[in-house]
Amino acid sequence: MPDAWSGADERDLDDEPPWIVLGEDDEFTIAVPAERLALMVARLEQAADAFSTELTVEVDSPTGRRLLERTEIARLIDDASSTCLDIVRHSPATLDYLELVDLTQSSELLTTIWSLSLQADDPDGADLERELAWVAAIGKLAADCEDMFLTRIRPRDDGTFTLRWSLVDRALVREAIAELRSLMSSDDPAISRLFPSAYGSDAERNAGWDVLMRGELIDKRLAALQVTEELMTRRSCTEDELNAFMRCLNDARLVLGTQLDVDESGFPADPDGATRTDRIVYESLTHLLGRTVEALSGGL
Amino acid sequence: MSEPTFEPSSPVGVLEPDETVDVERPWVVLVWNDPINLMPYVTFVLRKLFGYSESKAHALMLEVHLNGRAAVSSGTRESAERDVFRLHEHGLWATMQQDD
Repeated sequence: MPDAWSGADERDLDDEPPWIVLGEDDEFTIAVPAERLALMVARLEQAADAFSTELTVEVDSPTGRRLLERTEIARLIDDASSTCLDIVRHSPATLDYLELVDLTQSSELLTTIWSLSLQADDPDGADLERELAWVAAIGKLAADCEDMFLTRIRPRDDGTFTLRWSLVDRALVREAIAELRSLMSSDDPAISRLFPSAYGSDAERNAGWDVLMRGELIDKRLAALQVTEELMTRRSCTEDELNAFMRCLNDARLVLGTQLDVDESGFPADPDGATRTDRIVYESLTHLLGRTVEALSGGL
Repeated sequence: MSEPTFEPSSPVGVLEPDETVDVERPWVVLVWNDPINLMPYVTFVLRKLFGYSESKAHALMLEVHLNGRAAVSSGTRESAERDVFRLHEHGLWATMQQDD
C-alpha cells in the first residue's frame, strides 16, 4: 500500500487577491494592480541589463554540468522578460491556455534568476527594498500562474465544497471517465480489480456473490461516473457528490495501476518509456485523489 | 456526515441455509493489502464506513499494510455482506469468513 500522494499541499495564498483568475468560459484573466504593474513593466523592459554581475547559473549539458555564459543568461532573461512583458503590459487582459503556459514558465524562470541575483548582490537600504519589491512581484505572478494548474477543493461552512478544476485535471478526469465507462461492462482483465471475490477461495460462494452483487456494483460505479462527469462543469458540490468523485478517481487508479503492474515498490522497470504517459496520468490521478481525501477528511 | 445509502435489491442471502455452517459464529470482514490503494484513502474509507476514530482506522490500515490483512468488522452474515459490498464499492479488497 503506497504511503501517500506526492506533491506539496496547497500553498498559502498571499494576502493580495490573485492576479489571474479562471472565468466561466475557461479563459484566464490577468489583472495586475496599477502600482505593481508600473514596477513590473519598468523592470521587465530593462531586465536583461540589470541582473547581477556575480550571478552564476549551472545547467545540465551532454558533457555534464556547466556554467552558463553571461550572454546566455542574458538571452534567457531577455526571452522570458519579453514573454511576460507582452502579456503583463496589456493587463487587464484575457489569456488562452498556451499563453498561460508561456507566462508561467517565463515568470518562474525570472523569479529564480532574480532570487539568485539578489543573493549574489546582497544589496542594502533602498536598493534592497527596491529589489525585494521586484522579486515579490514577479514571484507572485509566477505563483498565481502556477496556481491555475492546481485543482482546488475546499470545504465550506455549510458542509458543501467549492470546486475549481484546473484545465489539466479536468481533461485528465474526463479521459479517465471515458476509459472507465468503456471498460466497466467489459471482460478486460484489469476491470476485475473492481469486483473482488467476497469469499476468499470458495469458488461456489464467490460465483453466487458475483451473480447477485456485480450488477449492483456496476450500477453504483456508473452512477459515480455520471456524478463525476457533471462535476467537471460545476463550481460547488455536496459531500455525497464529492464522495462519488473520490470513488470514481480511485476506480480509475485501480484499473490503470493494474494495467501498469504497479506493485509495493511502485512501477516496474520500463527502459523504453513505453508507459510514460500512463504513469504520469496515474500519478496525477493519485495527486488529485489525495486532495479529495484531504478535503473530505475534515468532515469526519 | 452523511453515509452513502445502501439498499440491497433483495435480502442479501448469497448462501443457501447450510446445515454445516454454525450460525452462532460471527462473520468477520477482512481487508487485504494491495499495492494501489493509498494509505490515507484506506484510513478515510474505514472511518467513513464504520465510524472509527482516526487512530483506530489508522491502526487498522497499518495492520493491513504490515500484516497483509486486518479484520475490520464482524457480525451477522447479512451485516458482513453489507460491509464487504461497501468496501468493494470503495475499491478495497475485502472478503468475509466465519470466525474460527
